[in-house]
Amino acid sequence: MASSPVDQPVHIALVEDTDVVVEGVRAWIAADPLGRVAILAAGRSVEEVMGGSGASADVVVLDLELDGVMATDRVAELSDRGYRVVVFSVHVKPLVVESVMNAGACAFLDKRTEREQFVDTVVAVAQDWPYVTPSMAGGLLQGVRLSDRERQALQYLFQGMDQASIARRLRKPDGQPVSATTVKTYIERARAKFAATGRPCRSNFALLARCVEDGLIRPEEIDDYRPGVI
Amino acid sequence: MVSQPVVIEPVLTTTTPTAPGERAAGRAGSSESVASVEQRYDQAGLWVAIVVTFGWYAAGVAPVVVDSWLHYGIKASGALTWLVFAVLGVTAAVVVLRGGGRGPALPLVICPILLAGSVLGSLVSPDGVLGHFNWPFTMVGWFAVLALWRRQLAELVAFYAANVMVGGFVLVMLGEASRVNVGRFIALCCGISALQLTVFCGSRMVTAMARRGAEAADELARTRSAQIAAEAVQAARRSRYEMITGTVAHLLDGLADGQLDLTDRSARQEVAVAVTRLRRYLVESDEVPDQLWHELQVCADAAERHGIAVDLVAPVGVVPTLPVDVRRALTEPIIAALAATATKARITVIASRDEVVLAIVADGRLDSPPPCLHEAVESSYDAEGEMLWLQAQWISPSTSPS
Repeated sequence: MASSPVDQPVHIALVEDTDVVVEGVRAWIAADPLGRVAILAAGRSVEEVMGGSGASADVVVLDLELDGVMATDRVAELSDRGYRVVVFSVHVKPLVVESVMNAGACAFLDKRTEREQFVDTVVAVAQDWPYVTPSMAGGLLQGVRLSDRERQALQYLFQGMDQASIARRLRKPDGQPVSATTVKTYIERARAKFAATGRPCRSNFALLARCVEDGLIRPEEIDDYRPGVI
Repeated sequence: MVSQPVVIEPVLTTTTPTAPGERAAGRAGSSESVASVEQRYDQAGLWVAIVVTFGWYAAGVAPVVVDSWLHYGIKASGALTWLVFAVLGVTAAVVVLRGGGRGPALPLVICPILLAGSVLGSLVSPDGVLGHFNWPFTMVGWFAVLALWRRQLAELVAFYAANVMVGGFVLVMLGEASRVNVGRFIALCCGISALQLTVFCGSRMVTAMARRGAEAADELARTRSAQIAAEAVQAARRSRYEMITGTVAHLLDGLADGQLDLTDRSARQEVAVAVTRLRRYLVESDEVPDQLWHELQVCADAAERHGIAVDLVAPVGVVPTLPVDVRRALTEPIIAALAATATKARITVIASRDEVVLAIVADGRLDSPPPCLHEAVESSYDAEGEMLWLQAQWISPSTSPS
């Protein structure tokens, strides 16, 4: 996925109040050899960015703290307006992550440690893939009913392992390690379950539709994930 | 090679010798309990005096008043005196029962009236000072006991003396001071005052004995508490000394005799482990909401001082309260991994009521995983190239399969 080319660059609207971070994002995007992402608009507030050219962006990248004020409530607002939101923040407590994901964010990126995944995450979100970063894994572990394998895979991802390392640790009943693809499936199914149990919004519907389309889950499973349904 | 740490549990490490202020507060607390005992016994004695006084006044004196009234008319009966004494007695009883009567006001009001009543009774008694109908002379002492309950014994004795003197004076004035009558008068005075003084002094003696008993018990309890605290402090000090000795003594010995080569990677790791352990020991007894998290922060801080970028992620779930030996067993692999980390490490905690999983992913090389220090903690270790992964998992003994 990370290296899959896209026909058109993903246009992002960047809401970020720190100039040096904006410059950093521009540098990471410029460093992507496939040129998969382009910045459509950048500014210090949601109104400034989305009131202008940012309105037609594929993905909104939102800093959670703007000028000292937590913008958690803006996640739900942007999601309800049909935007795919990627939260980019230093506030990586699993409870915060779970909260913004529940509000409808498509992904969460730790500003301190997950900058290398910025482009991959944005591209995945633009295509409604169930992409999970390590910081997101912490939030997902908080509140979704998962199978043992899904929980184990998410736990290792949260701890900081890559998918190959996770595959080495997760073993089949015959003692053989599972494949990296299987690990990816566990994690993506966990993400799909979270979307199914979350707030109904366009980004969650699109992600679930994509999961069904890719054969990751069956449509009837979605209802099974919903809270209160055994 | 990471050395085996000493795993002695410090007993009550938060216990400190009692501060002078705390001792004073303790004494104040104990004084309260002693005062409470004293008050209970004093009230009991007072109730005895009240019951005897009013019991005798109603059952013994009232029929005499009625008898006198029937035979000699209302003026000679002393009915008015009986009523006045009753009011004075009730007043005195209510005041002292409520804790009053410590000042001179109550006796100054009541005692003169009692003496006046005694004189009047002796003067109007149809059968003389020593007669059956002169009940005020014997009764005033009981009411004086109530009025002077919280005053000195000498005041009560002075009242008796005054009553005897005026009674004797009337006896002489009325020409009833025959030898036989004087003898009877003295016997009467001794008899009634002995009984009243017995109630008054007996109650005080019992109260004093109870107070001394309470004080002795309180002192014993305080001494025992101080002894327990001192033993706990000593045990904690001994434990800390042994822990620190086990952690750094061999390193210092190695440095002193030149055996420890700080250019050697494993030796440097050992020193780093010892330093981080010491920092953790220092905060183990801190009173914070999440001790494990607090200790992890200290471990991460120690590593960051060596230039390692530590990503300590806030826990998933709520970390249950864990005993110090379990916390040590959980953090020990983290300390060992941080000592072996080259540039960066990520530490995570996943917790539930019955399980806590601590993990570190770092770039570095560890010759061997640290030993597990607690039976309820299971540690796992894996290395892949320059990346190492260590995990320590605590499972509540109540839920783990035996």
